[in-house]
Amino acid sequence: MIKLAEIPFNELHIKKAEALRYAGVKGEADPNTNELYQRALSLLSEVLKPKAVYKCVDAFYTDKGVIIEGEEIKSLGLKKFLKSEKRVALLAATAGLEADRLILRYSMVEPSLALMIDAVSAAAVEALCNKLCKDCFKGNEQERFSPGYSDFPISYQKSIIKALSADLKIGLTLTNSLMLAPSKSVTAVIPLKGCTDYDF
Amino acid sequence: MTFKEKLSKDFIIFDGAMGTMLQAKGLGKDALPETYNVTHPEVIEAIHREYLEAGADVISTNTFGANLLKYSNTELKEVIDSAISCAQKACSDFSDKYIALDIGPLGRLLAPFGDLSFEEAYEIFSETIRLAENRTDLIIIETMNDSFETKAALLAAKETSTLPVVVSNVYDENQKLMTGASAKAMIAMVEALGADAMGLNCSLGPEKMLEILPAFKEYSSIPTLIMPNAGLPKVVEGKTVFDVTPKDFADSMKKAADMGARIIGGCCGTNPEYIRKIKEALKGKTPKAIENKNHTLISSYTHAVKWGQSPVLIGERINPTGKSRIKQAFRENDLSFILSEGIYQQKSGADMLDVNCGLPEIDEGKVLKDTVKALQGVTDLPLVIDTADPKALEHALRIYNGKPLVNSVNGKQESMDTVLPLVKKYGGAVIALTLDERGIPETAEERIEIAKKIINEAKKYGIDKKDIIVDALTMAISADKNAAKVTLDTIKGISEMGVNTVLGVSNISFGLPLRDKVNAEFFALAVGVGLKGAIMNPHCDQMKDAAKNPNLSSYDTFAEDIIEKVMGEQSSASPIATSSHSLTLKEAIENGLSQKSGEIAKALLENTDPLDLVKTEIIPALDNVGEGFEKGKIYLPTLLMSAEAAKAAFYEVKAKISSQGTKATNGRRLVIATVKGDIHDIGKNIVKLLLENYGYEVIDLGKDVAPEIIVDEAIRNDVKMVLLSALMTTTVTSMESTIKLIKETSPHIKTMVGGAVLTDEYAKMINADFYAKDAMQSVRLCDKYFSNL
Repeated sequence: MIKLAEIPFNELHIKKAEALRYAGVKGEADPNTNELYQRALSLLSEVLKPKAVYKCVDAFYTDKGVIIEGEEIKSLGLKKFLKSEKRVALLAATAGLEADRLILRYSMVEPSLALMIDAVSAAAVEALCNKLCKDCFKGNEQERFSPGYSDFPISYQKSIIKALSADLKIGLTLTNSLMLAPSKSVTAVIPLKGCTDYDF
Repeated sequence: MTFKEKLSKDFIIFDGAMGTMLQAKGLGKDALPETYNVTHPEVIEAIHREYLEAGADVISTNTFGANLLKYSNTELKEVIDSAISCAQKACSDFSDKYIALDIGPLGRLLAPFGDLSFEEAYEIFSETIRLAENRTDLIIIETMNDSFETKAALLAAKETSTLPVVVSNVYDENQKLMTGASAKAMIAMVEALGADAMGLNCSLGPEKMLEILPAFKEYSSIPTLIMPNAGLPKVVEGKTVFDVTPKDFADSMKKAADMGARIIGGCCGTNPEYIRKIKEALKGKTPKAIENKNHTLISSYTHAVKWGQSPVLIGERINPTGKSRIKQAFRENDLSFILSEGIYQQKSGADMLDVNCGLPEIDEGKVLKDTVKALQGVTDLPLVIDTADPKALEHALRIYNGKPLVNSVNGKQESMDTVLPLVKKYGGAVIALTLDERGIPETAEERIEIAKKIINEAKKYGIDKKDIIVDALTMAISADKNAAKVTLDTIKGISEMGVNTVLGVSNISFGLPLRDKVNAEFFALAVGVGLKGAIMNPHCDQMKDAAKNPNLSSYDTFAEDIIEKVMGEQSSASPIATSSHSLTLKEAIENGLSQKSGEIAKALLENTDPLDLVKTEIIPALDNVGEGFEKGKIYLPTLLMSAEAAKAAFYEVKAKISSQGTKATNGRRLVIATVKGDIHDIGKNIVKLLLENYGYEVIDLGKDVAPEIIVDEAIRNDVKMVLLSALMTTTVTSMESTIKLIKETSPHIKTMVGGAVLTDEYAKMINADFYAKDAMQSVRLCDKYFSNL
């Protein structure tokens, strides 16, 4: 069954250092940059509604990769990552369209703020995935593998979105060039260690 | 009885879920659900029949995903033909049943946030509807979670078929569509576009959905539809079940009927049993009457502005008339300047924005459409489409995401004949100017007569008077002292007719000093006699205050009083004090203080040559910050804040220079674009900002730009360098083909590339001449290249 998770923005543990790194800050941030970060955070907290859909599926392993829902994914990287777990979760998560709207709006009048909104909303969707990995999938927060990592074909995003009806349920779509839209979004596969504890 | 006749008299019960039923029959997992119309027609027909037997008046064809994004043309025809045939066969044993052609969403996000254009979406919907050849009784556009896509589908239905159309959207717990629209906004748009009924389906269970019905009761003048899910799904003994029983579902639908719903059905998780219970619950009930609502609503893709209460402020700044900087922006296709003007007006408190790009030397049809498209990407204010060119008007109305206000029609027969049909077709409201073939009447009575004429003519097209906003016309009191009183009397008369009024206020002060003051006082007077909106400068605080404080004290003697007042004040006005500041311009830029930089630059320019200021203050500051960035001492956000501060200073420099009749750029011209397939442009925008600060004239083609367009524009603008940005490996291929096309057609044009996945090596592989690892380096490389020419 497909589960929908809507996590309020203020319940996300957004890592400031990570957001600043996305914005190109490689060391200590100066006061102006810190203020910019706070402004981006507060703008986003007013409008973002982070959402995710996920479901539990069987995984079968072959020489070349993994079979999920009847489709063989040729990726040794994914196979290694999933550690032969029989059950895995498919995840699609998004910070939502409002992040893209704010980025576009501010890129016209204040590009520095647009850059920071871009960075903070990217950190927000990471935080959303971290939370799900820990709370729902009972793993480590970074424990997920996304299409595009190592040899995991980026085209598999399409299968994840379809399997989860992510377009209908959370508004997550793909462009022809396989970009996620809204842009601050993630698709991933997560190994589940035994499947009795899960609520899906 | 036709569907429309039945709808006008009675409840209409729709069927329940198709997907749920397919799954129950063990289908729907391995193939696209619509293919079962061809492979298992007997199953589809049986499902329809079950719903009809349960009491459904309408069954929806199994065509939710039947569109060209999922099927080839031949497959699509086959899928649709079979779907209709299954439905027809199922209905053949019943009487008074109706078939709805089911249209679902495309599963793609529309531009600018996705890559599917409104026009493409329209074409895809049109093709599905065309293939159905009016063989159904109606069309249902359902499960739409975006207002723009809803408009594309509805427009396609209205233009491709003659059938009644029902529209249903998906709302979330916050009572909004996924892309942000409120029910009020959707009602404004969908009703004006001519849908026969509208409402909501999917996502929510019945009780949650009831919470949204009051908005329909309050604002909608067409029948309301409700089709909830059977609650939330849960897994019981390995099976997915929904948590609302048919009985509870039907009880809720009974309440929905009491709240005004007329079309009732089910969505995910419902089956014939739910429909049977609805049928029983509605037995003996009569539907609530459908009342015409008298609200004037203008909407964007998020919200609707309601006229008639406190005055609606329409920002007037996006209009080249008398504004040289806007004129220049339109001529040079500098959309970002126009867009920032829109954003600033919103910040200043505008409720709506007027958009006018009427300049003789530009292609108004294209520019107006592009401007409206771009504006609705950066602001959610409803727009006023302001043009005298009917073609431009139509282009802009078509792609407007909401219910627009058209500016304007007047009492001339020719104007009414051209503008009113477009207002009707594209579901707008319109500003009616009280002038006609005889010109602008000098008396209020005559102006009111013209307003009545326009209202009557509009009625012939089915445009209600609630969708007409009369402009009583403001004339300069410096030319005619009676002008103010005639305008005010007209407003009074029109308001008494229950019709909304609007004014372009600032004309009143033409030829007078202290115009803001005159405008504000006149505005307050007009509000006092019933004015409901003004086209005005939202940056002017006096005007905004006036909107809140209507003042009737000088109704009869406004002209004499105000002229005396402002003349007196002007003679005693003291010269503007020069502000003292301790910060230098260089420091302001280095510290990223935009506002300060602009102020200091403006003050300095009073006695400094603009080019000297650039050389001695702005460029050294930028260089300093740039070097700090290159050495890793400061980071990108700080670099950008300084760049913005420098831009603010440049704004003043440019204003000064253009007043001297010279140009502010270094004569080096570039084209910049994010390549086809790539919809991310933050990096490109940063590079552009920096290059402009260094004096480059940057022609920004935007994002997702085809190679051919990039080449054409590079040649047309005679540039020596094209800068390309791409974010992902999947779009670097289109970067490569763009470079290839440039090399083939114009080998003298150099290419520079940048973006997250690019490296020096990768850039060489795709034959780029230069690779810039960051924005600062793109400036350095351009400087080096151009100075060696």
